[in-house]
Amino acid sequence: MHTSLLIQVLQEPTIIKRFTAKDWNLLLRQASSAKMLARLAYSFKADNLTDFIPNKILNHVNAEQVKVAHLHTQVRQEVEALNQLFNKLAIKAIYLKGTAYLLANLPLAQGRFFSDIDILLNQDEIAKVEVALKCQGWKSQKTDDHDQAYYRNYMHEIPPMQHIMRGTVIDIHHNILPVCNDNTIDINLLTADALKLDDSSLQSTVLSPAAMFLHSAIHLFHEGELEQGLRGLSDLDILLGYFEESETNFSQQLIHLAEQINQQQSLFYAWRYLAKILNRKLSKTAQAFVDNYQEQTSNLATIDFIYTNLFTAHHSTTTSWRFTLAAQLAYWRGHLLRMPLRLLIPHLLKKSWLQLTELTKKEPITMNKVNALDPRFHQIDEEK
Amino acid sequence: MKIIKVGNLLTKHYDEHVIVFDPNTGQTHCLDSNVNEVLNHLPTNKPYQSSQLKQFFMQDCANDEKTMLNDYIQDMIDNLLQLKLIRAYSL
Amino acid sequence: MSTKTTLNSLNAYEISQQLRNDGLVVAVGPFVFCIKSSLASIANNVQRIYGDFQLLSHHDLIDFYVSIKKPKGLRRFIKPQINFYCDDYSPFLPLPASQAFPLLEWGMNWCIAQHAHHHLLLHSAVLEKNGKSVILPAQSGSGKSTLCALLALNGWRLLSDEMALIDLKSNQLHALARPISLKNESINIIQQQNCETIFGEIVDDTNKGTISHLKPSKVSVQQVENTVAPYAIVFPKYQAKQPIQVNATDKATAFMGVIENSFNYSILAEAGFKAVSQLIDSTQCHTLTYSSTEEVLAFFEELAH
Repeated sequence: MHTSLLIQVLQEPTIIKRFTAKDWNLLLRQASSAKMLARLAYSFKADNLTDFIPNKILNHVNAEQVKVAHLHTQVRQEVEALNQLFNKLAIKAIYLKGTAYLLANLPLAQGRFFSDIDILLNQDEIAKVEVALKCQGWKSQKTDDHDQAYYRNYMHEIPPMQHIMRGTVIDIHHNILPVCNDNTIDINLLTADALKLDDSSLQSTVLSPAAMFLHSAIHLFHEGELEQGLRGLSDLDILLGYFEESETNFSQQLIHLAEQINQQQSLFYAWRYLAKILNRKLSKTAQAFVDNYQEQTSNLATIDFIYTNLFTAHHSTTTSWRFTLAAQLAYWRGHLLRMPLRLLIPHLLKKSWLQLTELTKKEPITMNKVNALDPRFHQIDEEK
Repeated sequence: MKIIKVGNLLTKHYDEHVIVFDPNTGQTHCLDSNVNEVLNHLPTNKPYQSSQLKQFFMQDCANDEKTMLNDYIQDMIDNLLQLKLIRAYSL
Repeated sequence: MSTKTTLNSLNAYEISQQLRNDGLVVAVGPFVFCIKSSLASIANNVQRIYGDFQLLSHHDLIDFYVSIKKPKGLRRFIKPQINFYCDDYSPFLPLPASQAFPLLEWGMNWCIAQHAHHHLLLHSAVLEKNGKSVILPAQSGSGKSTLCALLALNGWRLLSDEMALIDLKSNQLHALARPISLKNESINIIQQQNCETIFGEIVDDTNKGTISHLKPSKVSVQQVENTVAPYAIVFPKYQAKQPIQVNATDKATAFMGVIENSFNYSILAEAGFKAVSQLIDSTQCHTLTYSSTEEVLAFFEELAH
């Protein structure tokens, strides 16, 4: 298999000391497409390797960091407005994923790009929040009836809402896995130790370290599309490294919480592939858990095939038949994990029908599009 | 009402205007120099009574000017609040 | 004079082969592009317009991998269309195949605007004469490109017709010397100028008329690595049948005007604010309305003295 250069660098950053221009070109392309350029910069800095980066490449790396910083400013603004709203409604909201890493000031946030603000709410308060958000200019993104029904009946979140002026997207969840999943998580167990942050005037709430890590793992290993999979794994890597330092007996905390919410499998995968793909050294407790769980796992060969092939840069320079097959397997697996087969088949059929009938290209929504300043846009309109 | 100025503002002074960059919101504003004078008078570290602020600027004014100036400064405060360059302070 | 290898060293066949295979690697000012396409119109235009640009190889560091491709699937048989790709990502909707070269040019602008945040980037033409540079920031419809072409044909060195690059560290202007994109009657106006001009293919855009690209002068391309300090900012506006009018712009207004025309001011945050402050401090700022070519050329001539 063509191992991606990006993974080799993540495993052993010092190899950049011997890089040729060709190596740098390849790394730049793979890291950009995996949205991990700012992340690389972070680890190069940590390893005192910045001097080995050619100026031309450094410009790209710095540009990515500038974009991340800008995104963070925007997100903080949104969070401030959202918190005011939640306070007024006397609602407890917990920030998840990228937003949480940023608010909790985790080192992980420094090189991390994300596009949506994820929030966890009590299910019975969602309707109230949705109405209040609509009054403040937030609009539901999925207007198609089927999508609306799918989200509301089977999912763990409501359709994403986008601000009509600012373009920011928020994802409101009431659970972290689809509600039709057989293995629905008792969300109260996960949020029991949620932390109120006091670092700024924002006063936001985020999950406890163990719940934060476990949520990130559950999310990654239930995901059907793994385009950003490597980044997800690298998130876990940095989270684990940080919390092992800051928490006492973090591995034990994780095992305990995973057992409570019956998500040992996600924890097992997280540790297994962190060790296998990113060469992370596991604690004794973690290693014992992994060894023990491995013995009870039957279809590990398939799962290994999927993840060892998909946790890579998703780029034209890394594709192979293995990659394509693994991607298809992961897609089906992701859907199977999310909903039982009797619901899944009609959903996928309907989805592909809708996509066939739709001729317009769906643009991904990113926060800082320079729409109005798109040079192409000007060129077209330029008269005279 | 107590108000407080947000921290870390960057300013560039020109004849009749001041350009203010607010790193908290990422916004840049072009303010009238008068508005900037009000802004300058506010500390960033402790909340300030808006009535006290008005008194400071009206101390040497005739009575009929005072009503006008009072409204004018209130407008400026509202404006600055809207731009998020100052915040209403509450416990 | 420089001994750099240029695209002129390749014949038409070699250019089209490189474009078709691993990609043609070319220096465009401070950036290096690898351009890939199997379309004949791309090869034609590249050869015609980029001849004086420096040719590099895959053993050099490359900033952007761009390509113009036909989309896969059934659509390509119905109505031939093309897509622009920056590496694996396609930021635009497809366009009719006839507009391949303009799309490549727009796409290359897009790459710079999206990624070159070590510069303050302005939507602006930039030219230089006698070491004095003028920045012409303008929105669409102001006649910026026509004015830029007129100056470029009258002794001014072209730095860029579309984008000012101001280095955040040195505050110097970098040049791109890219072809100037012209539309409709502008093409005629420039062709009527009493000097030699080389144009790319004239493309009919069914919605908006015609578009073509003016080849930058050899001198401009050869001097592309020479940076220059900002000297003047002129906000231009073409107004039919009006006599020329030039007003000094007050600095605060110019500041806001520069921001409005910037691609990345808000992303740069504090660094952007500092760069614009420095820019405004070091330049004279004017607004200009004009209609007559002679009058406007005379104004700029005086500015450069």
